[in-house]
Amino acid sequence: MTLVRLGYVAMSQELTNASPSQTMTFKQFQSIDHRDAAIRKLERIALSNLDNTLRILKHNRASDISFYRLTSRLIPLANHEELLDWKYMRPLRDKLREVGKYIHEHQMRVDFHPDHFVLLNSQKKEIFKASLKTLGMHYKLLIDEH
Amino acid sequence: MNIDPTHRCVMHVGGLYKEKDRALERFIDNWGDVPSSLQQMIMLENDDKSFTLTDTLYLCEKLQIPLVFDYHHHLANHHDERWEDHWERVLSTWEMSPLPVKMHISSPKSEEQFRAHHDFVQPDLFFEFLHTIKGTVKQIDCMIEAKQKDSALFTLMNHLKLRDDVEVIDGASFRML
Repeated sequence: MTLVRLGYVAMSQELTNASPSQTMTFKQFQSIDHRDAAIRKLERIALSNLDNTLRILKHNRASDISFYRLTSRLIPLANHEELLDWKYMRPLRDKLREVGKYIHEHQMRVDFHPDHFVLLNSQKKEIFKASLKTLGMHYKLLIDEH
Repeated sequence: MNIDPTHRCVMHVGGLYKEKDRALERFIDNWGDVPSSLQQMIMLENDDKSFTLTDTLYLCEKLQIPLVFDYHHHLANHHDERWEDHWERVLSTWEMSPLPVKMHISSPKSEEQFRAHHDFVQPDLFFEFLHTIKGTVKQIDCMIEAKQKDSALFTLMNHLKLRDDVEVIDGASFRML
């Protein structure tokens, strides 16, 4: 008879200080003197989010949970209109591989639920284009870009 | 992450923009402008305000997109209350997928705040669903959308120990009897 596998979304209530969606507002970003330093800060947050994702996956493994929704907010300010020159994937590559390896080793099913502002049926070209950009980020997180 | 991106992003159909038929047709038009690498990632779910199960099925069948059935959304928003009459069609949208059928499970916070998510999963509604679909599919992955996240999952698994209509397999999965 039918096998039922349970999963949950993004955040663990059992782990402390393990948020996978720590963020920074654009205002905070602007308040940092050097733009480069501010970008490094964003990258540190994203890496910490991936570290916490790995902690959550290990907690899942210990609890037999093999189905999990990754947060879509792993990378703060990704695709922000003032930060389009920021190549956010590059510094995350090794960490993403580590997370991916763990997912493969333990045969987990992971997926995403992009935010509600991702609208594929929008009448407005800009919204449709921004939606494709956000989906593109999800694509880049999933695949292994060389 | 080196993960096959096929069917990894669940999305809502989108905005209603006053006229549903046109909003659905615009989804189809715009879909043609979505690169195939991104199309491949997408699954669609029925939502609780605009696009019902049958609206979403229309798109999923036409564009070959797997449908993630959200039972709570269906209770809040439907044309046809009898979701089970459309269940075989839902399963068909998954035939081409490398992944098991997936659904969303959550419970209404209260009668007054029906659309809001409860902290935990109320087993009665969930098992009503599971008893209706058991035997129609080998495996179903149920994503719990509850405020208490993994605690809601553990609470539900604890509840299963009291039931005689399931066989618990491990800490997060069970078989319907």
